[in-house]
Amino acid sequence: MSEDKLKIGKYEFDSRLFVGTGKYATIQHMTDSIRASGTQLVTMSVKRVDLNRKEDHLLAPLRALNVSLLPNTAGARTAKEAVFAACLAREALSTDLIKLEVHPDPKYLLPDPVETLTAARELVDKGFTVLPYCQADPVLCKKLAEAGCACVMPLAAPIGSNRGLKTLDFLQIIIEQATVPVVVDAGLGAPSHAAAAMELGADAVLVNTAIAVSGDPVAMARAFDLAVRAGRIAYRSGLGSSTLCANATSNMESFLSSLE
Amino acid sequence: MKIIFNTKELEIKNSNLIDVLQELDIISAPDDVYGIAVSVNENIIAKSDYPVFELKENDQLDVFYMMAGGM
Repeated sequence: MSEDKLKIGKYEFDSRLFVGTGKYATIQHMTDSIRASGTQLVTMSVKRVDLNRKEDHLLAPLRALNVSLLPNTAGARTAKEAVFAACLAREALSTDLIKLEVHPDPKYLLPDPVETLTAARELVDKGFTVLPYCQADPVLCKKLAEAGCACVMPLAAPIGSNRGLKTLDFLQIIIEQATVPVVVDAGLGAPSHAAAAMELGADAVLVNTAIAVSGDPVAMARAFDLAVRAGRIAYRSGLGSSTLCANATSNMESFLSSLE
Repeated sequence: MKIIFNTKELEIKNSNLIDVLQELDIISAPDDVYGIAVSVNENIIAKSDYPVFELKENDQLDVFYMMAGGM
């Protein structure tokens, strides 16, 4: 098979698995899992400094892993807040990469499509490489691509729910129509979910909770890596068509006729 | 000098931004600024301006850092 790099804007990746840094029991668990996942892109959030709390310093161990950092705008409830968070992240990390997230409802954390599109347009104008987390809405994904986003990141299921590909039919349409890479984000709870997304033709997946909260995050990270690779190879190999009726894999006629 | 730090009033000794960040124990050295971002009165301050930026009485200082997060 030919070379198979993932291109997001001006950035290239060999791994098609992006991972988050949240919910790990320890920083050591996080760094070991990131290493085991083979990922080259990890997400982080922007937060106000709390002088009364000793914060964990994640940046040094992450930089030692030689991965690219993808700041996100998690916590933003409006386009204005998301743009401000993105500008803070760019200043903090000196990167133009931004994972755009606007979710005003804390219960379901579903992305606001109107505010996301508004923020995406402004961030593209400001020179960001925008990776928007969005509903699995084919019309919205098309508009985000037209706005200049470097990819689209439709959700499989609500964030952290581990429910798998609940939006499968819509993801299929998004992938079929895509003019930018499609990264399936949120809700993937098992390596089989990731493999299924990749077999469908997704260009990459993003996983956090399913790895971080598993019994053995390092082993689970490895499992996701293998699943993403397997799914991608299967997609590029061309899956056989499915039928309702049986279709024998060996010639049964000669065997049956010899019994007569 | 009194400023508003992350929405709360705070008394500080210094006015130079780098000195304030060190006074508040947010950075350990003047060049230890990777991973943080600062806004004053909701305007983001470029890192190159930190050494020459002077805070004024009642300024609203917000300091941000990168924390764990994902999906």
